[in-house]
Amino acid sequence: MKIDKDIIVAIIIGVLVGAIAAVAVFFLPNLLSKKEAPNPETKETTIVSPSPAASLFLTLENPQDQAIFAENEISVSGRTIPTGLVVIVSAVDEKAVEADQSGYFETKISLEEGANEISITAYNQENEEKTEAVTVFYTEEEI
Amino acid sequence: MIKTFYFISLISLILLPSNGLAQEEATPTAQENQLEKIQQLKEKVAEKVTEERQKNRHGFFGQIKEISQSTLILTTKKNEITIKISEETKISSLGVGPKKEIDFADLEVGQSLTALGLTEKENELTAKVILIKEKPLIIHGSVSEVDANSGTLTVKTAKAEEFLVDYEKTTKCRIFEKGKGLVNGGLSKIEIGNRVHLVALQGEEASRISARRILVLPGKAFGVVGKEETTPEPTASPSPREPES
Repeated sequence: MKIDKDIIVAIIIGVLVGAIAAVAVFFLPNLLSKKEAPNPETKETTIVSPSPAASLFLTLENPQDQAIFAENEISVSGRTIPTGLVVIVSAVDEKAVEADQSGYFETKISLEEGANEISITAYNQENEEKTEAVTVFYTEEEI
Repeated sequence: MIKTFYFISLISLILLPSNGLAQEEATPTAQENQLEKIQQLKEKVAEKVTEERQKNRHGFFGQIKEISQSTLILTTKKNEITIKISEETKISSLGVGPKKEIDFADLEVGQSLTALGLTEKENELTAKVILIKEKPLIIHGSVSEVDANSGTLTVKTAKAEEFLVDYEKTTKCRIFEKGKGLVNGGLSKIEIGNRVHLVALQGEEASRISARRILVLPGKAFGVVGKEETTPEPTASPSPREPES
């Protein structure tokens, strides 16, 4: 069976046109949907390292003042001078921790039911001190 | 040429249904995307509701100033708060013994309490939990006197307040030692000049307190006892006196 040259060309052109149409229908919606706003959850963080010559300071990161907790042991963290001694006291617990080389400290402290004052004091080699205090609440009941 | 046109049309017609199939295959993905978006929206709404609830959750500590039919006026460090009591409010007392539930009628003016609940208006709280309990004092300062006979120590704070501290049999004392951390101690190990952090209960006199817990920082705040104890420098040998002329 002889096939005309025009027919072969027509078949090829038809296949190509059909293929292009199929590709366009399949991929176009995806290509359009990709033009969305950037993810808002992306956060920029800036880490500021304290200068070694910085005088005594104390910044509390956790816990937040007036926070309500359902657990009786919480994390206390913050920043002070590198290797500075930090004393953390609650009504039922006390901790003495040394900050790391970047001045970061973190420890766990126990709470009693109800209102809890937490006192955080940082010391330097010269016996100078800086104190921060927060009040947090602990209850097993659902609020 | 007409033949060519027919063939192109025919081939296109054959391929178009397959495009349709491709679209049908894409449809579930689109549906999945929509479902995912709905799920994300649901999660965001739930998150927002929780966030709002978290924002409205508040706690207050203070003393009862006034009691009326179903409200309390609480005097806190900052201001006065109206505490609304409902049937859902759980009122308990935490004393020396175990926690016990009490009635609203048992509350008395002057009692210290913690109120936890939701705020809808400023300075007003609908209480879910009321806990009758004293909050101990947390102070720190340096030891200016130790009296082992009477079992007391005197502590001066940075604000120049002076407290006579009763060291009780139940007082828990811990000493910070460099390299070891906190080790158990007692009144005999506390020296003048030590820095102490105290958890104490107010006595009858304003300046006399009863220690519940003591954390001691010997010597300098960084602690001089333990493995990193500073060794005393050797004293210089005395030089022979020059003869007086």
